[in-house]
Amino acid sequence: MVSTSGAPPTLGLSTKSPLTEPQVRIAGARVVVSAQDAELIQRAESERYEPHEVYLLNRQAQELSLRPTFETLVAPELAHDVIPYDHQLSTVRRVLSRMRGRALLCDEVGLGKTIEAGLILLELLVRGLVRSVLILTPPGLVGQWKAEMASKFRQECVTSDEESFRSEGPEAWHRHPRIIASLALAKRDPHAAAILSRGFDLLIVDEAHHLRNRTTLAWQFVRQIRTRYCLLLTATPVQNHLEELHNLVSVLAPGQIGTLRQFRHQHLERSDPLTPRDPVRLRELLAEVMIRNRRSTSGIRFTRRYAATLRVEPSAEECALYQEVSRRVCLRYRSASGAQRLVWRGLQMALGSSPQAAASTLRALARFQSDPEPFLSLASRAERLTRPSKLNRLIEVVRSTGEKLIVFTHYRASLSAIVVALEEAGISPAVYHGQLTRRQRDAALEQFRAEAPVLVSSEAGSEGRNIQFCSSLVNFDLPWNPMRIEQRIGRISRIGQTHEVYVWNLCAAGTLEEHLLHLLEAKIHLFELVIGEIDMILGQLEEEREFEALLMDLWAQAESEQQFACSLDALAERLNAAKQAYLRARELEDRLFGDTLKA
Amino acid sequence: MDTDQRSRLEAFVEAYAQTLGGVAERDAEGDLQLLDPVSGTLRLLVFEPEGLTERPEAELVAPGAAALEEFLTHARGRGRLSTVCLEVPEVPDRLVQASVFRTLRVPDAEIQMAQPHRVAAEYAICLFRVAFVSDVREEALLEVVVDRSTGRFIRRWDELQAAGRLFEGPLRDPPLPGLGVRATYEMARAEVLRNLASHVTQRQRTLMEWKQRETLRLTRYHEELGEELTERAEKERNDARRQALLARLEANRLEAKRAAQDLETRSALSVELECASLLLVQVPKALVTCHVEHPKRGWQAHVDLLWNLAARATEAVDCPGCGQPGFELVLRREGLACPRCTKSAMGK
Repeated sequence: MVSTSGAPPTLGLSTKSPLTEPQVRIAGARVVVSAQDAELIQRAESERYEPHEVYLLNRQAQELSLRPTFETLVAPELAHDVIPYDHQLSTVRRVLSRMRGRALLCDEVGLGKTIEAGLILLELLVRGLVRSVLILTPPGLVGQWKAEMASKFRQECVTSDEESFRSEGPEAWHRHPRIIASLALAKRDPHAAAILSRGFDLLIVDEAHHLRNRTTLAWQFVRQIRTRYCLLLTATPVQNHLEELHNLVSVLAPGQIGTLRQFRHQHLERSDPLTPRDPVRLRELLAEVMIRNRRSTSGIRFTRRYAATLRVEPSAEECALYQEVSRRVCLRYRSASGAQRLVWRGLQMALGSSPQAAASTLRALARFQSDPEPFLSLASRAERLTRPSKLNRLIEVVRSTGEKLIVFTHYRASLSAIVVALEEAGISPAVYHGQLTRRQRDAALEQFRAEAPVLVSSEAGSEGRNIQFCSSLVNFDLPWNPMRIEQRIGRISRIGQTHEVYVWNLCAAGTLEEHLLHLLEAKIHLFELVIGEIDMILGQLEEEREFEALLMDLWAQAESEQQFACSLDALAERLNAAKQAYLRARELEDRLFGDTLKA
Repeated sequence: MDTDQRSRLEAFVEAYAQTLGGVAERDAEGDLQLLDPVSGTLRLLVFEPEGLTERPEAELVAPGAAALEEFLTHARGRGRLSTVCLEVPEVPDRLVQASVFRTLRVPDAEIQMAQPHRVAAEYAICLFRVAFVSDVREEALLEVVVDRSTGRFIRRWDELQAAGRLFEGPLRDPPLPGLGVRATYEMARAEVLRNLASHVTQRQRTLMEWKQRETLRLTRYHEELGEELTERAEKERNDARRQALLARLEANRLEAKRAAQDLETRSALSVELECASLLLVQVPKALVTCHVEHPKRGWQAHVDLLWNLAARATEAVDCPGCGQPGFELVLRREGLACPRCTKSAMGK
């Protein structure tokens, strides 16, 4: 402000300037100015101010609602019971930023591909980049995906198995934004036609090794689905021929490794279909679309595991009850179908846990029977068996180990019986189950960490909790699904565990569980497998039934215990063949990809 | 969710309730009950996904969750415009004069200063929300502060703000004239666009490189596949098989077209720009009128300087010739000018 006389200060600046919307481009990018700016300026000109505290709230909201770069992920904050490993976060970032949401996720088993895919899905949903999602899985995994999407990522998806979905006919594919379906169903018309006519923002194909063969309907169908983002999940992208890899990549990024003819010419050794001509070049090309984290490079190391079976001789009363209930279950199961079969399977499983669990299930079942008396009578017999042999053995184990122990059971009634038995034996356990409030759960884990020698726990709710200060667990009952067994072990056999892990499996002689344990432990060495490997082996079985259903079918169909044992031996052979196939594939992939494709 | 993040969200929801006329209180379980200021309904809020298992009737407040998005959207629609005053400690006039005297340089002239008197300059705190949109969306907040009385950008507003206290109240000092709101906004927006240029160029380069790679890959692939299919169709003697190959050829052509269109859409970058909020802050300054006189030649002039009470410093004065701010002026017969203008005038 300079004046040459005593004139008042004038700034010489215009106070009127038209608000023009610029047609601006920066470096070729179009700039769109919000229409709301004009309204803001008008309000400022007419001095329609709001209180400063409301302005401060606006500032807070502006900052909190910011969607930063993919370096700062939002999804892990929203996921439930998930503490992502570093390699998983790196994978999510890499897929979203460098791979622009199209990737072949081929982590070694046990490294959490599903979590990676779930986090990517959630990140895209939250950022508004994705609205419609189609998840294609093998039939046996549809339910598991739905459960995981709901429990871990709070995403309600409809499945193609649901009656309501089926009743809508092919139109259902257009009506629902998030669908989980079996690939086997989706690839068939009229479903395929409906899917291909709409397209999805995100497509996830689990167990994508089913797309290794380009002559299959599955490959041709998936290849045609219109989708912006696409994730193919498999731990075994190659098994018999390198062309399988080409087929998978072609679904995701056609031409990334050339046409099939070019690929054969440039990358295949004629003498050996599993040896690339120039492995370094092939890996370079694959690195743009494929991630394969390995345990050796992701820093995940598990301490050794030891398992022991504690075979318990049941009392005569226990034996009689077991046989009587089993006989009835077997008869009913053979003549039942669908959901009814689930009910009888549930009773047999409860019987394998404890008389108390059986009693509870029998009483529940009695309510739906025209003649409830036999059920109530059996329930009463079961309730009189207050101290089954397994409980006595459990107390011996607790006393003899002197280490902190987690005792897992699937049933609340068994859990209560265990707690009572322990307390009567002068052992004060911490108790953890799904019905506790968060505070009660925190308190239970703190009690276990600080003073209680035993934590009696149901399977629910403890995922994602740090309980690695304990290195021993007892399976009071044995889940029929090996993956559930693995999940229990995974609670303590995980990152942060510094001690060797001990697993005791309690089972009563002469029960279905004894046979199952023999199959899992002696035949396929379940307890020595790395977390996730059993999943792979079961996946190779080419069996549409869930493992529990398969087991129950074999048991119910057998005319004698010996025949059941023979059926299980045959199943063991199939499992071992599946295991060998998996091991061969793993070895091949280690040789092909090495450590070069990690996130 | 880490503790800091959770605390930030809890603080926001409590502020949301308090500011907009709702109520937020902890219940016996330690969760937050919100009497929603917008809908008037009672809502139970949890801040960890685990809380939903236990209390299915609750709503999750976490980044990306529906309830939080709703609160954020509403809060962002409010409070976009406000005005406050900055109160700073008083400074004695003699110190202001001494500071101005030390700073202002007018060679060969004598300077006499009038008594400083307080005025208020208006700073416009313009918060811009920028979104870079392609097949991904990334957002950033950019703040530009303009001193409307001088038309200059203020670079260290945070420090100035920290020197005093913001309060809502009537203006105590006479306001300085300055830029109009529209001109201020346009000036701030132009500054944002300048600042964005390098970010956009970088993103654009990355996108273009990606697009070129993808185009090359897809073109080669479809061309090669087309040639293979054509070759096979030409050699094929069986009519049905030849028709099938020709159908595949057509499908390949359509796929190539679709892929190119898709790539074009995915690689197009645009920038969305919005002035998210505007805060007008009255900043106290001392106006000091200096009488400048050449003792031998009798030339005289006046210059008004502003001493910024928040920055505790003299502000540069604009040269009446070139408009460049500075602290040195030369007194000539025609008046005051900066050394460069003076030199240039002497050269003519």
